[in-house]
Amino acid sequence: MRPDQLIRTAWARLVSLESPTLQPTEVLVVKTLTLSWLMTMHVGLIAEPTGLWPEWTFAQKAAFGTVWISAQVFVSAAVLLSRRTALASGLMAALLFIGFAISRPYHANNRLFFACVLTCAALSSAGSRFRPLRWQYVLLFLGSGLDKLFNDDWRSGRFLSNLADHVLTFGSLWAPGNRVGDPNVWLHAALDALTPGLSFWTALSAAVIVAELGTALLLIIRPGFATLPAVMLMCGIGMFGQSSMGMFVYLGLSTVLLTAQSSGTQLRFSTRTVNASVVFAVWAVMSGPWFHGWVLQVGFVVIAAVTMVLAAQSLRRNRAVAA
Amino acid sequence: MKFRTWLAAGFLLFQMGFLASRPLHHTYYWAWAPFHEAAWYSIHVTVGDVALSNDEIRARYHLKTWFENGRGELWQSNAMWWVFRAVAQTEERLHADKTVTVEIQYRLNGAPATTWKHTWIKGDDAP
Repeated sequence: MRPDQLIRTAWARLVSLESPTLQPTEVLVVKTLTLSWLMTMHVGLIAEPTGLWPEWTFAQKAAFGTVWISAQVFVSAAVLLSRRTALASGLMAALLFIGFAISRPYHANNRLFFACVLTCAALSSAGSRFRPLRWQYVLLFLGSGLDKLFNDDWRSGRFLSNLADHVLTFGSLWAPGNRVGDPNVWLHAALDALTPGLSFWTALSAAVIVAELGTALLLIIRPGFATLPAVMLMCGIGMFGQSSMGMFVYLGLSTVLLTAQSSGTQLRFSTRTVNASVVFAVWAVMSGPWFHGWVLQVGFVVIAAVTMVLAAQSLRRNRAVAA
Repeated sequence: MKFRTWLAAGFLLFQMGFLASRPLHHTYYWAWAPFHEAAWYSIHVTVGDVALSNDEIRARYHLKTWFENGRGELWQSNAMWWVFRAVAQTEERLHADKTVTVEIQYRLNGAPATTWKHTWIKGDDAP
């Protein structure tokens, strides 16, 4: 096969949303997140076996690291390109859970959530009204919101005020391209202009908690409406920390993909229909090593603005239909 | 209902149980609470009579050094419990032939500094 044919075939496989057990939007979620996993270099070494079985010292050996990375790249490629997306997702989840079990530093909340998304995809059944993937997202937002709601430092705004100090002192948190510590110029400018007191941080904390709990609730009762709070929250987090927070912002933004309506490779977001290839292209741009600093912040501003425009159009259309 | 649907329901219920019982334990596995707390902390370790340097301490516990504030402090962007556990598990695994004392000073969410201290007496934690 010629290289151009190979590339065309691989692209066609990538943007294909067909699966025997998964809905097209679920395939889209799993594939875009796996793309981010690969492009942000989350395929990492297991550094230290201090997990459930500390005696598993084989994980310290360089050869194991090579096997580990190779296995993740191979299985990720299977998730992206094979027709058995659910099976490949299950294998990828198993690899990640093994990693968490044998290595403490390998574990992180956002990686664990990615593994849970893959697990739910693997356990989804064709034709069933019960969609585990959607409930996994409900749990994410519900857990995050409830934990903050019952935390004194969050409710008082002290956590966010302190976090802003951290981010100003340190600069950007982790972003694609393994970037940390870039000056967060926009946050400096915004805080200089606003000079916020604790009441501002208390109000912002309340907004975050409402957005998280609201997203969880809307995912249950009106999934299409969950897009707005989820995107606003993720873009806010991304701009505030000048960071993707590991995989977390990608996971949060994929709520949009999960709640879209689909017909073949055509996806309907609110009032607009786009092809899956456009979604993959945008997602690849968001996951590349260039997506940090002002590029990342401008990117999130654009995503937030587009989402608000679509939400406004959707609201107008709903009013017109009701009238 | 298919077997895999039961499995999926069980997997989600397991997480819900963990979520509901979160106030009863310090573990944040499955709790979906990213950025619930953040702290600056510094670690002082003595092995026998010898105090370890910052570099030696970070290598010993495999601490990420990305978030260093220039004053020898590291930033934990999740629960401090992770750091305590990393230290405890490492010491229990190493079971050094000398007494090890670890003191961690940390400022949680901007609150005044708190100290966590633990000593592994020679042979005590050896399996």
